[in-house]
Amino acid sequence: MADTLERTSPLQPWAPQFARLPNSVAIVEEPFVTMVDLRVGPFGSGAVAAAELLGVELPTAASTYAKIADTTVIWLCTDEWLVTGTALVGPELEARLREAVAPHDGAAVDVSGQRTTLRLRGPHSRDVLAKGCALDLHPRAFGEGTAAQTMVGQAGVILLAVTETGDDYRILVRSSFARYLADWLLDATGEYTPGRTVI
Amino acid sequence: MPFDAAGDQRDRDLDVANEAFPFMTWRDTSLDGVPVRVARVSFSGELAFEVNVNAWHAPAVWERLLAAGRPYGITPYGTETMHVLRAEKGYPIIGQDTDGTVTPHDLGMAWAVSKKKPDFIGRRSFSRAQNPESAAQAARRVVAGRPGHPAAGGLADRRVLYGPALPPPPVLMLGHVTSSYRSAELGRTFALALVKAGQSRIGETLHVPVDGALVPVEVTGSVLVDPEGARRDG
Repeated sequence: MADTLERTSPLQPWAPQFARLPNSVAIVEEPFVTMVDLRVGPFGSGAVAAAELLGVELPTAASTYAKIADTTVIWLCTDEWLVTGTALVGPELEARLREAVAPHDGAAVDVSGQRTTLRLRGPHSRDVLAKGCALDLHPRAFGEGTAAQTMVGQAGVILLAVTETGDDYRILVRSSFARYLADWLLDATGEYTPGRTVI
Repeated sequence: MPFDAAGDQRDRDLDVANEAFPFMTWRDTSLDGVPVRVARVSFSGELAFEVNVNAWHAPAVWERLLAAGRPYGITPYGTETMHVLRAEKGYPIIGQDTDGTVTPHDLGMAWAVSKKKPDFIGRRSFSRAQNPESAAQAARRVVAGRPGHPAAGGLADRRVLYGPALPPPPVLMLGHVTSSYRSAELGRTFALALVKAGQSRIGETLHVPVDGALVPVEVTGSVLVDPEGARRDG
């Protein structure tokens, strides 16, 4: 069989509903992002090897992320990071990271299919998140470069502040919770959507 | 999943023959460039493979498998069906057919506990002197029943009593039913129960109260379908 296997992103069927949202609370799915889970000692030779490969230091401050070009390195805990990007497919980024850190007792595992990414943008995006997230999302406390593992509604997510102005977020959510979170976000945008009946 | 091994073999580099791909082993392969991991495991006692693939490709791989299996009568089935199939084989669900008081000996699964490990959590209770040496002596045992009553499909959580008539209280209780289903394969209802000294009661008739009446059940071994395990290899 020569046909290729089509990829399906978890929120593909939600695209038309997202497209109807106003610019003040725009939502798009950013599908098929490569994600590799990286485990390595934060201050040893393994972290240096990973940083050389990625072109950016592994962040060691809690709840932060580092970004260079297409690559984002999200701090998950003292010896664990989530490396995301689109330049390489999962197995390739996994292989390169593993080669870099394995001699230093590190590990890299492709977890690309585990989560999908939602991009929430616009002046009301922080108001929408505030309806279901207990964190203080004001840019004073949650500015650009912040990445928290938290809850939005009842879904566990990794929440990234993209800008310094509190109007642009990435939400990494597990694939099986993505439809729930998409519905929750659509419901939460109701009052900012002209013509939508808010119950 | 119940599809024909010969069907799965077409267009693949993966040899799924019994000898090349034995039970409880796994293989990495690919399908049109997509990495696929196949494990030969079984939740129903029949020849089955678990196919693992990146979630993005899962719908396409699913469609491909269904199309490849169509000439062989492939069909998806859900967890309720899987529950019936596993019960026909006497596979217990930990937490449904057991609670925190049930030992591996009760389940007839003491063989599955490593004898090589010097220590492990639960070793003290596992090696109590009271634990039986042989399965036949087990304090309690999961056994299957052969109910002769149409209502017996709904036996779960019912008490198991000794005699054919309800004696005055306190009523002697030998155990309780943990799962019960209607089996298409057997053409009748059956149940799994935890019964005191169950293994030594095989062949006995016990009674289960259902809606005020006592339903007779025959105690049998816990494997009701394919006891020789031939279906595992197709």
